[in-house]
Parts: sequence; C-alpha cells; structure tokens
Amino acid sequence: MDKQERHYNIFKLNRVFAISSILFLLLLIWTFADDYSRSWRTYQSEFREMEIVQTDSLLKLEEKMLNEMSEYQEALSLLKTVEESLTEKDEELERFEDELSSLDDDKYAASQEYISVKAEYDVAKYLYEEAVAKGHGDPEETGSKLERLEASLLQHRLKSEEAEQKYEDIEEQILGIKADKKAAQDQISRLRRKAEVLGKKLQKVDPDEMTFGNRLGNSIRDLPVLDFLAPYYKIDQIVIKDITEDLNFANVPKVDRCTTCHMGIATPGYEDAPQPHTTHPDLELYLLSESPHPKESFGCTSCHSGRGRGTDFTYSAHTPRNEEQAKEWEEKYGWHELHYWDTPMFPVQYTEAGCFKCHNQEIYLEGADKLSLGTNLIERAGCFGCHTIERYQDKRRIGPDLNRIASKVSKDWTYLWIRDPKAFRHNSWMPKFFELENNSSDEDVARTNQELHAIVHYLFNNSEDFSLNDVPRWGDVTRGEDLVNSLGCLGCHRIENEPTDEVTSLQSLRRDHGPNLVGVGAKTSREWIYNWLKEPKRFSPETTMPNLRLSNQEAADIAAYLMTLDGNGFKGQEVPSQNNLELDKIVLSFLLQMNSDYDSRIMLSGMEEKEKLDYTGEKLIRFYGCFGCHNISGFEDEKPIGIELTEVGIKHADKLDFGLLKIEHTKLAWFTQKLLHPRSFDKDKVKTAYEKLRMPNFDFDEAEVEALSTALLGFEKASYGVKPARSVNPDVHEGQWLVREFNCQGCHFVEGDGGAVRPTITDWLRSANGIDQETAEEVTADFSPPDLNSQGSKTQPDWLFEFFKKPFIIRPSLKARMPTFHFTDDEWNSIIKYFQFLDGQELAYESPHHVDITTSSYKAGEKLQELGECNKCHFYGTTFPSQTADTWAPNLALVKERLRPEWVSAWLDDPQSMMKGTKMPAPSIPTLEEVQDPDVLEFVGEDVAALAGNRSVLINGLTDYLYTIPGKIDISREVLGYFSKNGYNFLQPVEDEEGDEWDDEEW
Amino acid sequence: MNSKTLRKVSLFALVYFSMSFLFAGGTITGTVKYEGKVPRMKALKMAADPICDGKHKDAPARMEWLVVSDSGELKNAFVWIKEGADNYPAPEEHAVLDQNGCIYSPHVLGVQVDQVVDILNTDGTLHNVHSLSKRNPQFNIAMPKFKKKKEVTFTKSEMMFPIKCDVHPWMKCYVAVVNHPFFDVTGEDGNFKISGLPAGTYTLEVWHEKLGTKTVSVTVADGATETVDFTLTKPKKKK
Repeated sequence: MDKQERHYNIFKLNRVFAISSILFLLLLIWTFADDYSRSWRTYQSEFREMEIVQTDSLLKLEEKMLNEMSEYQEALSLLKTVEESLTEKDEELERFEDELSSLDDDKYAASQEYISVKAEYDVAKYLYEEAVAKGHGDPEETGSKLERLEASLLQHRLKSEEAEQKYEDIEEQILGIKADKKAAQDQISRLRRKAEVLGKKLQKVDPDEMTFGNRLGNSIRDLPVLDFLAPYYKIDQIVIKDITEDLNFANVPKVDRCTTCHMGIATPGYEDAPQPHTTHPDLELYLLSESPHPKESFGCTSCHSGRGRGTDFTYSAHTPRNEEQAKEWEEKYGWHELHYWDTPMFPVQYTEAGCFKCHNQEIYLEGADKLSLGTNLIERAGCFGCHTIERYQDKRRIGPDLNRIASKVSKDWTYLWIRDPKAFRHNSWMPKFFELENNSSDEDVARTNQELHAIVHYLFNNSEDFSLNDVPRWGDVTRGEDLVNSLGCLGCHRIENEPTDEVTSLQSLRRDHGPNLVGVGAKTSREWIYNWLKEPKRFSPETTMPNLRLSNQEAADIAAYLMTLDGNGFKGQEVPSQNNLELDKIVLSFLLQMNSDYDSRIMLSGMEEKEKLDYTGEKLIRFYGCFGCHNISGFEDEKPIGIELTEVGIKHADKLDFGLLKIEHTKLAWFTQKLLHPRSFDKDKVKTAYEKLRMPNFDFDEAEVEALSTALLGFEKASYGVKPARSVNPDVHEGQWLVREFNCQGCHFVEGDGGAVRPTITDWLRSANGIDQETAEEVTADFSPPDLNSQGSKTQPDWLFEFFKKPFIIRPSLKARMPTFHFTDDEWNSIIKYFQFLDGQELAYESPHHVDITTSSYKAGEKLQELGECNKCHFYGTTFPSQTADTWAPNLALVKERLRPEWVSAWLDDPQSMMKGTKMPAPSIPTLEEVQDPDVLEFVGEDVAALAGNRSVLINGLTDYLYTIPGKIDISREVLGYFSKNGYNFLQPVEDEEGDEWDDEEW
Repeated sequence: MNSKTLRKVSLFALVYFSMSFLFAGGTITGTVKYEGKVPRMKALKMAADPICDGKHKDAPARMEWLVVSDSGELKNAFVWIKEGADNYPAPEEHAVLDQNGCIYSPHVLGVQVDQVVDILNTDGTLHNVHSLSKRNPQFNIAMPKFKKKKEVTFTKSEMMFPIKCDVHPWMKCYVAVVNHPFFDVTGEDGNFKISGLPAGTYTLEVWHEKLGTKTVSVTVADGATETVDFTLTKPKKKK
C-alpha cells in the first residue's frame, strides 16, 4: 500500500481519538455519577425506610383496633350471614332475574304498541280537525274513528304502565335481596377507610407490598439517567406566588426546596426522628393547611430565612447555634458559611425573629415569647432614646424629667448616681457610663470625675424652680405602708433591698415599670414625695405615673413610709473635689474639635470657671446622649446619638466594627458582645477620650441578651422579600400601645396576660389580715384589680369613657384604686376601641336597654333576684348588702349605666366561664322538673313556675330586673365612710378568745 | 366501645368487685394520732347570716382545722392508697356533702371518679358551692333556699381541693377524688379502715389539711389485716 502523503499520522490520531473518547466517556459517567450522588437522595431513602416502618406499624395498629372493634366484627359477621343467605336465595334470585328479562321484553313490546296506537290516534285527530274546520272529508266518519282510537289508546297505555310496574316490582325484590349485602359492605369500607389509605400508602412506598410490575418499575425508575422520567426520589419544592424574592434584581416568586430533605416536617409521628426528618415542633400554628401559616402559602424561608433554593446542607444557608455546632457541622457536612448570601437562616434560638417579617406592627405577639421579651426590654431600657427605631418613633423619653431636678435631689447625690447607679439601687434601669472597659485607667477616671462635675453643674444650673407645697399633716408610717401595699403601687414598683433570683419575663418587667423604691428616702425629701404623689404631672408632664387621687392624709402617710426606705445609699462614698487642671483639659479637647490650637488656647484662657462648666456640661450631655432618655432643657430637639437600628437585622457582619477583638465574626456574636460588654470593641485601639465608644452598660444577663438579639435580628426592611407587613387597625394599635406604655397589665389582665400586682396583694392580705398563705391566695382575685378580659363586650363604651375620666368605686371591698390617667379623648377612644376589638364588638353607640316591667319574664326575674338573695352581697344603690364587707359585690343600681345587657345575660348564665375563679355563683334557675315539687313551687311562685324550663327567658327576665334597680350610682362616699369607721381588716372571721390559738406565724 | 360491651365490662367489674369483698382481699386499719400542743379552735362568727347564727344558739360552731381527742386521736385525716391500686368504676351509691348549720359536713370528703355527689342544702338559706379544683373544671353554683339538692360529679382524679362558700366565707371543706375505693376519713377516734384490697404491695398515705402528708409502704395478703398507725406533728415553718 502506498504510503499516503498526509500531514498527520493516522494511527497516532486513532490512538488519540480512542483515548480521548474513553476519557470523555469516563467524564460523562463521572458527570452523571456526580449529579446522581446528592445528599438529599440519601435523606429521602432514609425517610422512606422510616415511612415504611411507621406506615406498617400504623396499619397493624389500625388492623388490631379493627379486630377489637365490635362494630367492625359485627359488620363482618353480618356480611358473612348475608352472603350465606344470598347463596340460599340464589335460585330465587335467578328466577327473578329471568323473570326480569322476560318482563323487560313485555315492557318493551307494550310500550311499542302504545306508541304505534298513539301515532294512529294523532293522525285521526288531525284528519278530524281538518274535516271540521276546512271541510276536507267527512267529520262524522273521522270523528267516530277518533273515538274508537281514543278508547284503544287508553287500553294500551294501561297495559304499558302495568308492564312497567311489574318490572319495577321485580327489580325492587332483587335489590331488596342484595341490599343487606351492600349495606354491610358499605359499613365495612367505612370502618376500613383509614386502613385502606394506609395500605395504599404502604403499597406505594414499600417494595415488598408492591405488585410485580410496580416492583420492577420501582427498581429502575430511580436509576441514573433513567430518573428523568418519573423518579421516586426527586426534588420537592414549594412555590409561593405571594411572597417574592430578589434574584439578580428580578422579583420572582419564592421557591423553597427545604422539604426535599425535611420530608417529615409536616407529618406528625416523626417528633423523635433525627434531623432532617423531624416533625416541626408546632404543627398547630405552622405548615398544616388548617393552621394559620400553611406551608403552601408561606413555605419555610419566609420565616426562617436561608436560601430556599438550596438542596444541599451548606447551600441552603443553615446557620449553627454556636461555635461548637459550627465545628460539628464542618466535620459532618463540610459546612461553611455562605458568605454572599444576605439572609442566612436564623440560628435556632433566634427563630422568633422571623415573626417580625410580617408581624412587625404588632405590639404584643402571642406565642413569640422571646421576641416579645426582647421588644419589652428595648422599651424598658429605652434603646430608642439613642438609636432611631422606626417602630418606636416619637415615643416619650423613658427616664425621669430633669428639668426640675434641683427640687428633688442634691448635687452630691446626682454626682454619685450618674457615676454608678447600681451602687445605690441594685436593679436600676439607669445604665452605667463610667469606669467601664474603655475608661477605667487612672487617667480616664481623673477625667471622668471632672466630667461628672460639669454634667451635674449643667443640670442644676438649668433646673427650673419648682415650688414644693408643705406637707399639711403628720404622716403615719404604718398606714403609709399599708396603702403602698394595697393601693396597687406594687403593680409598677418593687420594694426590694437585695437582688432576687427572679428570671426576667414580661410579668417581671411590669413590676419594673416604675423604679424600685428602695433608697427613695435617702435620695429625696418628704416634701418632694408628697408633692409628687399629689400631682405627678406637675413635676414631670410626660410621666406615666398616674394620679391616685390621694387625700392629703394618704399622701402624707405614704411619704412618711417611703422616707423610711433609705437603703444603704452611697454610704462611705464621697464626691471628689473639683480639679481645674483636669477641667481645662476637657474644655480644650472640645474646643479643639472646632477651632485651631491657637484659638482654642486663647478661648480657654478667657473663660471663667462657671463658663467652663457650662460649656463642658453641655458638650458632655450631648456626647453621652443623656437627653435620649431624660428631658433636659436645651436639648429638646436633639437628634439621637446612636446608629439607627430600624434595619439592623439585615446588616451584614462585614459592616460591623469588631475592632481588634478576637471573637467569632458573625452578626450575632457581635450583638451579644456589644450588649454584654458595650465598650469592649475599643480593646487595644488607640483613641482619644472623645473618639471612644460610649454605649453604656445595662448589665443585661445572657437570657436578656438572647431576647434582645432576637428582636434586633427581626428588625428588617418590610419589603425584604416578604409580603407587606400585616396591617393592623390604627386605633387598635394605638390602644394596645397605650396599654403597654402605661403598664395597665401591671394591675389588670388584658388579652389573658398581666395582673403582676396579684402576688403582692396576696402578701398584703396575709400580713394585714393575719390569714394564712393558702386562704390569702384563694381570695386574692377578690381583692385585686379586675380582670379586663371581655371588657369590650361588657361595658357600655360611653360609660367606660366617663369612668376613665372620673373613676369611682365599683368593687366596694377592693382597696386597690383605679388611678386617673390624663389621657386625651383620642387616647381613651383608642383604648375603648381596642377592648371592643378584642371582643368583636363594633358599635360605639347602642340604644339603651328598654325594659317592659309588665311582662311575666320581668316578674319572674324579680322573684329570682329575691330567691337568689343578691342583696346578701350586692349593693342596691346606697342600701348596704345584708352581709359583712368580706363578701361585698358591685352596686346593682349601676348595672343599667355600666353594663351591656347581652353581657349581663351571658354572665348570669355562667359566670365561671367568663371569669375563672369569680366569687359570683351561677344563679340557680329552676327547671321544669324542680317546680313539680309543691314545696319548690311555693317558694318560686307562679311567674317563675310558668316559665320554668325556659332558661334563657328566665335569665333575660333577671337581666331586665337588674336594669330597673333604682338608687345612687356612685357610692364611693358611703363605702369609704364605712371603712373609715369600721376599719379594713375584716377578713378574719373569728373571735379572739382567751388567746390560746396556734399562732399562724409559727408555721 | 359500645354501650353493650361497656355494660358487660362494668357488670363483670361489679361482680368481681363484690366477690373480692366477700372472698378475697386484705384490710388495712389503724389510728392516726397527733402529737404536740393542741390549739384551741376559734369560734366561728356567723352573725352575717341570722339563719346560720340561729343554728348555733347553744354553743358556737368552731373551726375544724385541727380536731384532736383528749387522748390525741386526730379527726378528719384522709387515708388512702396512693400507689398500687387499679382503676375501679364508680359505685352506684352517692356521696353526700351537706351544708348544715352553715358548716360543711363532712369536713373532709373522699369520692371516686365519676361518683355522684349529692350536695345538700339543709339550712334553707342561700349557699353557693365554689370548687377550687385544679384538674377538674371549677364550678360555682348558687343554692337558694328552694334548692335542696344539687348533684355533681368529678371526672378526673384529684387529690384534695377546697370547696368553699363565698356567701359564708368561713365555710370550707376538702374533697379528694380517687380512682378506686380504697380510702377512708378518720372519725373522732382517729380510726380508719380500708378493706377489700387485692393482695399486693401499696403505698399508703395519710393527709391532713394542716399537718401535711406521710406515706408508708404496706404489703397485704388475701384475708389478712394489716395495722398501720400514723403519728403526725406540726410541720416546721416553711421558709
């Protein structure tokens, strides 16, 4: 063979081709293999195993239950009997069926005959009509033919109907024979429904239960390459149209593929299965279609954050709960942080942050305890004083008003207080600014000691005059203490000398609303306390402290008692003397911020000492941002000094300054560090005094920090990939906020929560009345401010409005007093609308309740009231109850003004269900059976007897009667008069005899 | 379970139950005593309600929180099998709680789950019956003078909750709801007797409203009688 002239060697080329095609083939196989070996496939097959086991055991359980169920067994044996009897009846049935088919023929023939006669008849009718009307033919002849045919038609019709009837009879007989069988079969399949469903499911998942064909299909459908057809193992995704996410600048519907691995998430029964197969911990609230957050509408990442499209552990942006878990994940899954994904999943302990994606307008979020604690802490600590947070815009400053400070405290006390508030009061909410991580060196302390002088100077120099009225009476300490313990003061204030081990909760924060009163006697004067109590708003126009309408004597008594609470104060601490050299240095640092070195020195040398103090005081108050929490003259319109937190939840860790601190570089680690040690990021940094971090230390504990971080994490742009925020009715929102801001739940139950004062009422009942703890607990509710659940449907809105403006005594034996809050009409309306909203009550105005006193139901109501002896406990105007004060109940003459009739009737029907534990017994409404007894009949009288058995009419009659009880509405004066004469310690139902009792104190 | 089988089961249980009384079962009996200083029970001031007051003209009624005989036997202690007994169906017989002289009688009442309790109003004045139960739903019903009897049942076992009358605040008694019939309340003589117990080992508890509880383990053989005596003392002050 001639050697062809070529530029290449064909053999060599063949070899190259051969090798590369083998390589490509290998590459192809590798591609398929790589694509095929995905972790979710393993999870799905694991889950399938679990599903088989679970379904199988459920099925077995179901079968076992069926076997034990007599109803099922009866149905089975019935079916058997029926089937047996059917075999016996086989012959009969056969005969019937034969008959039926021959009858069918008869029926058909008869109907055909009838039809043909009918046709003939119609022709005859036509011909006759033609003959009569138009003269075409002989009317007589056609007429007689028609008559004949008419008779024949009737005959045939009867015959046909008869045949039909016969047929139906037989058919019915056949059905009758078969009916029992069908009924038994239906019953069996009804009882077996659940078992059938389980069986079908098992057939689908368990190869052992499959038919041969399916089994074959099952073994090949998931093979590599072939699995594009109809695989069992496949990616499962939820597409949510209403919620969009930003995918490369395009808003596209959210896609969550989480259920690809978390297959058991919405199925009960896998609560104890290992991740990722575990059932969601709260299926009542989430995922199931009947829950408020079905997975079809919300998916997973709408709440949890993360990368919903990810089908791999790392790429779905899982976030570990701590460093330890991060290490574990790295080893187990090769996990690493998804650096470029803005919204990684919330670590599990911060999950509630996700609630804010939609519910960020709500004041109180039931169920989200940690998040609620976080927002409540933010409100109590007043974070929004320095950090703008949209949610808290335009809120009042949370600290006391300092505009009239000189009348309240001394300069020295103020100096020591600002330096270290907790040295005076262990649980003060005033944070510490000085002698922290970044300002504790000798040099720093020397400076800050002088800063404090300047700040105190500024405050007192700018303090307005405030005239203190003299205390007109001598106060009694014991009476004062009793008042503080019983009036309700302790719903907002504590008197605690030492720290307790109480865990911070919404309830504990309610009692932190006002300051702990320990040390108040060492801090201010009797006169100041007296003036403050008499009219808090005169000293501090924006205070949340309400006016308790104290008499001069009461205010004097309380002032006398509070003066005894002098605590340990700042014992042994002294205010360092002023050091002008240091002061000059401070002045200079501030001057230098705006002026040249030369000018600054000239300006300094021209300043008097007072000028220096004025100047630095103002600068320092601005630097530390004191006005964020306090009203200070000259700083009314100052902007907050801190960074805005409205969207801090989506801030990336890269944008946070970790300084030189060696901690984990995550957002949450930073939050935690900042909240626990606010100044620690200055460590090892070189900074001048006024470049340093200045966030004060609030002494939060770890649980508080976790709650705060949860809330911070929840603060994000409303448009960040989720639905618009859930809208709330603005009135309701405002009302809810006022209830929160003024701490109504310190005393009352609202939305099922609150009543923080109650344990202190128990203590008071025990100590003031000498009863034991158990008895005191039993009657606490009777002597505590009322539960306001159902308030919206209970009271007439216009009455409630008047009451808020001018409260008076409703519950005569209650010593706690509803204070006066100086709200605007708008604000009161919001609160009333909020209460009405809670009870689905929409009307602001309603017709007054008209009562017809001539009806028999009214008369019956009057009798029931007499029989029920309501007057034993209730006031009727100024008529006192027949029993002693310990069982007193509200004035019934007030009913018509105060209550809504629908509520009264519902209340009378079942008081316990409306207010658990109430003293009010359910009235005894006679039944038909009861009035058969002549004795009872004699008691209840004719009107009641006539309506006996008609419970609702009798109850409405009783309601009607209550609306006609005459008398004085406001009996405050009579009640107070009684107590001032007879004293208040009426709970002891025993006479003291011979003094030989077992002293309860000895227990 | 349908009603027929339920009936069968309860019939069986009833037969079994009564048989066990006749032929088998052990008995635990004993006395509860109190050791210590006996406080004098204060007189109840019933002036609030003349009907109540009228019923105690001769001698005032006294509190009942610690009733001890001269020789130290303790009344109103509740003795019951705390652990070891099975569930028993409720007896047909009704339990009775009377309001007589504005005092509850008995002061301590043991009933079985689902047993009907007749609450009587012998006084012919307005009472209200307010249960302070925790597991069972609370009720608070008025019993005007015409209402002589009210039937209630408790559907869950619950150890000791008070029933009180808000109209007469001194009125208070204690109720225990037990899921078996093995309990007794001591009388003036401090004696109790629990019989018909299937052979076995049980935890026996004594409860008293002020003196607290004490438990002991008892093994009972068929036909045998075990004697268990308890002595209760004033508990130490809780702090």
